[in-house]
Amino acid sequence: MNRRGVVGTFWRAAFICILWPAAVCSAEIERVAQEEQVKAAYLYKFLGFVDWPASAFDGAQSPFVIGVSGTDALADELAPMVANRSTNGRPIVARKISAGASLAGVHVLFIGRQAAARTAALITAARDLPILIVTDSEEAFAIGGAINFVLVDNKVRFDVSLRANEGNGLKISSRLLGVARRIQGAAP
Amino acid sequence: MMPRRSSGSLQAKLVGVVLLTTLVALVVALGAMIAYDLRAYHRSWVNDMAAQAQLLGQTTATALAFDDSKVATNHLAVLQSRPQVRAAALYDARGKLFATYTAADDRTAFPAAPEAEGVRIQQRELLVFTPVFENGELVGTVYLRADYELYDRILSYALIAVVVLAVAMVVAYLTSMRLQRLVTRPILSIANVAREVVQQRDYSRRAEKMSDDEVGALVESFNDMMAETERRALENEAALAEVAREVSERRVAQQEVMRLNEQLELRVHDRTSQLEASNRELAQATETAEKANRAKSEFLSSMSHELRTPLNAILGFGQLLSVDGVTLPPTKRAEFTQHILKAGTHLLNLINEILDLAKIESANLMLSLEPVVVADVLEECRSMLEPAARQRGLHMLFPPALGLSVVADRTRLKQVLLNLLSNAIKYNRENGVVIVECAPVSHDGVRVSVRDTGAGLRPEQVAALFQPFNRLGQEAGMVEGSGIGLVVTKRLVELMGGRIGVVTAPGSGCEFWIELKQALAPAASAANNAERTAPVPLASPGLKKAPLLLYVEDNPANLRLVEEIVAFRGDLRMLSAPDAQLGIELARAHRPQVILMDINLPGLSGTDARAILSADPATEQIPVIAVTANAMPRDRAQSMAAGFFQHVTKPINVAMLNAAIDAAMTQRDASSLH
Repeated sequence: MNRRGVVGTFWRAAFICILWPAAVCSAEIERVAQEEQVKAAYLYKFLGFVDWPASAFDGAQSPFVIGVSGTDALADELAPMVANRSTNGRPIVARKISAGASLAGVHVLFIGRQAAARTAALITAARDLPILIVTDSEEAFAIGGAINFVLVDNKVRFDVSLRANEGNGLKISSRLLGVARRIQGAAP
Repeated sequence: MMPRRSSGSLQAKLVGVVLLTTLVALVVALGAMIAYDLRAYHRSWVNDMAAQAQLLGQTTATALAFDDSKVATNHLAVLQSRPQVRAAALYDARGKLFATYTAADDRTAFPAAPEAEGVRIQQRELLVFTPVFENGELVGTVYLRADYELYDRILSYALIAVVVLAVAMVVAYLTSMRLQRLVTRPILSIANVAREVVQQRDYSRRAEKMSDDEVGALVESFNDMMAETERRALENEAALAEVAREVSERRVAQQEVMRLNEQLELRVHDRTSQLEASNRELAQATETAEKANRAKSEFLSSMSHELRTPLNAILGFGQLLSVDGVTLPPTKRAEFTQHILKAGTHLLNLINEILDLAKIESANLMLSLEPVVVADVLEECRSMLEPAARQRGLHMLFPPALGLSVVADRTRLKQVLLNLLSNAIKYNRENGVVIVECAPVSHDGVRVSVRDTGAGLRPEQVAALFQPFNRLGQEAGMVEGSGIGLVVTKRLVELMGGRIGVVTAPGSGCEFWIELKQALAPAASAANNAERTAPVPLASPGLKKAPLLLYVEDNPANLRLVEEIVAFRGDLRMLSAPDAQLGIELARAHRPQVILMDINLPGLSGTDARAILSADPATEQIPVIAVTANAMPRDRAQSMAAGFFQHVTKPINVAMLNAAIDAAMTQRDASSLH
């Protein structure tokens, strides 16, 4: 599913390339690749703006684990990106979440579009765990995502839902809220 | 090295010091304050801006991280509340301009790329670049550009400082002007006192002490000094007064000396003028003497001529009469005899006059002054001259007898009048008149004047009239005369204490006058006078016991004359010797009563002979009378000094000789009685 999603996106880009003149085609492919890269970077950056409860970690030096499902391409981008990085003194590990895999030890779960079939299951499984659920579509976000990537003017933005993390002990920094496109569940 | 002398008053200096001090203090204080303030401003502003940039970085870090330039722009817009911030910008991690903010009126462009971190001041603006990190990663750079008002502040501060300085200086000036009096008034008071002391020389002035500070001490010192100076001044004044007194004394003394000098000069001048006068008189006398000498020589030559002229007539006619063998008729003989007599008479007169003059000149003339009745003398003269006047047809008018008498020698007065009258007859015109007048003049004089009607005299003739040895009327040739009659006359009148003069003009005749002193006692009558002047009664001649007279004389003629004189006396016997040697022997042998001694004798002189005689006891008592031609007064004095009894000059005056002989015998008799 992940591969298909990525491939689908790729193919869509390739299809556009076929229909459009060559220059436009290559730019489209480039833009899609950049989009994946930006989303990977955002996933990594979110770590700094969210507080996890201490119980979410095995120890003081336990790494952050970013789980990626539904898109291998993004997971492939993310893995080298975080390889030598750390946040709050903790190393970062990128992990592909295949279907049926356990979500134990995962701090951030990205649910790509290609995992649409498993989205509900993943959200349900992760809902009570101290996991920041990041979605890539309105549907998934509506089910229970905390942060949802949106494309605005060809730029990657995101919406935040405060309700998603009620009860799982996560606190999203107000600074992150400041750059969110929309915030759902905020006090009126 | 002398300290530099500054001008200006003490007040100005004090004010200047205050002002300068104030200025320096203010400048330093203001400078320090301004420097401090500017430094604080600079640091606070730089820190402020740096902090602002930091804050911006933090607030926009998320926006940068999530590439949200809109949010970033919103964050930057907060800077509107800081108008000093002119512009701000955010660059992303790649250096691309991410978000900007610009103050409303700013048009400055943004830098193309972020520069190195830090704060820079550029063209009165502060530029800040601050990198923005998020989670340890560089996410971008904040750029801030703000006003940097340091220079404006400097300007403002400078303005304030100037104003403050001005105000402070004015206040300081006014204050110091008031306060400096505290310091300067006592000092100026001393200065005033000192100046007045110098100007008025009043050392009693004292400065007023106004304070107890150093100036007070100065006042005390000044007053002490003034007291000392006053004491010295008083001493000096005393000394000066002393000096002035000495000077005035010296001046007085000097004036006295000068006055004496002037007197001395005056006296010297007087003496000098006296000397000059006497020199002039001497020169005049010398000239007169020389003139007289010349006149005497001329007189001698003319006298020789005058004496020869009548002698020529006498000898000539005498020869004619004595020619043997020639018988002259009686009338002729009578005529010749008349000529001889006339010439003889003339010669006699001439000789008499010369003798008179000689006697007068040698001061040998003896006068016996006595009251003389003028009328008597005139009468005698008239009887004597009447024939001569009648011979020339002249009328002689005599004054009436007034009984006037004068003090005179009768004989000499007669001689004088005869001379004047005979001149009046001689120099009168034919049938003229001779007028004689006699009248008292002034209070005690008698004037007798003789006026003729002759040709008169010219002024130059009048001037020479009474000069000795000047012959008058010589040029006329027609009148005989020795030319010395008037001279003798004048001398005689003067000897009798009278005056003689002449009033004349050419063509109007001459008036000769004499003035003699009037005799107060009545004169004796002519008869009495005649008795008194009668000669000494003659001794009987040939008397054997008659006194003996010795005459020592080498000249036979003189010997003969004296023999005749002695014979005429009749009371003396006489011996004679031709030289002194024989005379001395005769004197020793005969013991004469009196000796007559010539001085210029051959061999032994009369003076030596006299000395020999006086050395001999046998002859020392005999009076010796010098009879000599040495007639000068000096000769007389020598004779008297040599011991001669008397000095009788030749030509021998018979009367004088007789008188000398009588005196000698009287003395001899007197001495022999002892």
